[in-house]
Amino acid sequence: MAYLEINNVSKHFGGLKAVDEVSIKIEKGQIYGLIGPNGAGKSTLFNCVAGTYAPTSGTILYKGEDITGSKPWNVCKRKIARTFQIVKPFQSKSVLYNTMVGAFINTANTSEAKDRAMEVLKRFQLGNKWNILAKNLTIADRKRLEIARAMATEPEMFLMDESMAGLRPNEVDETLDEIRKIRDSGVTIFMIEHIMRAIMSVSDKITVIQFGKKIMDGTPQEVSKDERVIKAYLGESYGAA
Amino acid sequence: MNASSKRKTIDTILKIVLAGVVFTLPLWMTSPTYLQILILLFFYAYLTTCWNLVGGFAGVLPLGHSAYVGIGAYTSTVLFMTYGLSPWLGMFVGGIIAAIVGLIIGIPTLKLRGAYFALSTMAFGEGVRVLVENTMKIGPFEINGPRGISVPLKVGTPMENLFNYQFVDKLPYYYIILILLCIAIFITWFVSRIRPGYYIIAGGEEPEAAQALGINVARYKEMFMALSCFLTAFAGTFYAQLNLYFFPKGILSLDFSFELAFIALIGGRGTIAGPVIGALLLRPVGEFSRIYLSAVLPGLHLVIYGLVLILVMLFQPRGLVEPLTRFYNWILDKLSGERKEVKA
Repeated sequence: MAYLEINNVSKHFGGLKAVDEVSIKIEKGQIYGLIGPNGAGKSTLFNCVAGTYAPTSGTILYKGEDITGSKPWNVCKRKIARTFQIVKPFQSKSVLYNTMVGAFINTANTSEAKDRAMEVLKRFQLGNKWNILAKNLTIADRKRLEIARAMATEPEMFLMDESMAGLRPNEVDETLDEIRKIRDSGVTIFMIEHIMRAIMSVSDKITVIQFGKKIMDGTPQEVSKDERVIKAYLGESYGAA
Repeated sequence: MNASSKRKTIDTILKIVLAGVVFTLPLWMTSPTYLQILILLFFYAYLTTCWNLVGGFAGVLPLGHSAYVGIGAYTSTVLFMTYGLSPWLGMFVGGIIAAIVGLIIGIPTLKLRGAYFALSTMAFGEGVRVLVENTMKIGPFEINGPRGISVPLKVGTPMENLFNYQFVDKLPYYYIILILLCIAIFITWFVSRIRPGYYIIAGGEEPEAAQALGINVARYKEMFMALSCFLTAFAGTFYAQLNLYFFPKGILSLDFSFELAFIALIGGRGTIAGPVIGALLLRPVGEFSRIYLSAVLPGLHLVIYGLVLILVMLFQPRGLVEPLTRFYNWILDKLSGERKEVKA
């Protein structure tokens, strides 16, 4: 039995099949990549897992339990955390405050939440920026805060939606290290990423989707050589080679 | 370390002095007119503090809080008139009814975004007013439609007066509303330091992110709505006992709901001191324009509020509490001779 099982999940918006019969199996401890051209339905699939949308059909099993259609806050309580493609910090509040909101899921005690949040911030190199307001952070730090805040909920499964988009190459490398560290701490990671260099180097397995349908899944090597994937990204005329 | 502990001492002293001044103010300011203005100032500060629990923290703009003031005033008064129940107890009954009504209104509307929530609460507030204006009796309770209710005057021994929440002098009202205000401020301060406070502010600012962090945002908004309505109703009872007369056009009017929003926005929404600062600045303007200009231009105070609001939104979008806090910290720094970093 896989850790997270997405079985034939579809999500339709009116006539648009944003996600069409996609199945993915993720094993415990993996870093699992999800790639595809813009508008392929990656974020929609994520939103189905995270509970933002209820799938039109199909089931999602987490540790063997059916979580299809669970509300986002209940998904989070099952120790599945997520980040957003467009970061959503609590702008008017400090970095520490943002992280404490995450930490509060495991304790009702304010000072304990504060201690736990500080620990997480130190882990993600935000320890000395704890009192800066989120709106005054750089993009890289906002992305880092988004990860730290989600990690403060102490998840066992982490859905990361383009956590490296808009970062400079050295910042991408730092984030990759952080992702590996998160995995090594026992968290299973399911991530969407557009930066091929990043996702190819870090993933154990990758699924490619296009127009809502799964094209294939496999190891990064298999995926990068597959003709269907090349066609999906570069167009028909490049596939023939 | 020495300077920062000195700073803390000065901070405490300043706050004690301020509290001392506020609590002894009626001793120097004996004119009943000024006392009445002060009472109304605290009355609005109290109401706005209650409004702020949902309007400030939950990221929505309620414009129908007059309804809950009305529920408080009508409930305690009809219970007093019909059963002789002390308005102090009636106040709690009113609070509970207001909280329930607030929940009934809040559960569907708090899911709405921005202007839609504001509009639906406004419609609710107006609906309640029209309903009350056209109702003479609810069961055994006389509410007299548009004519309103005169609370029967029962002057007796000081103990009876206390029981009846009626006083010949203005002084007791001053202390009642001051204590209510202190309680509301304490509640605001307290909830903003515990988990529900963190959750409601997070949910008000970024509902999607808050949900992903395990927060049932709607549930917390409903909780704060109920708390806000509960406390708001207390002010209704106070208003009824202070004036011993109220009518729908006054207590249930839209102006009233707007004024709370104005005070909060100008003072600083979602802060603890903001509603008080807003009331402190705006109420005198309202009172004096009402006293001196109401014959010429009734409602001028709302025009002035509007102008002030535009200026504040342009130059201090987070409300006047921000520059004032900076100023206060600057004074503390000067007095203690230390430059401290800004707190989170």
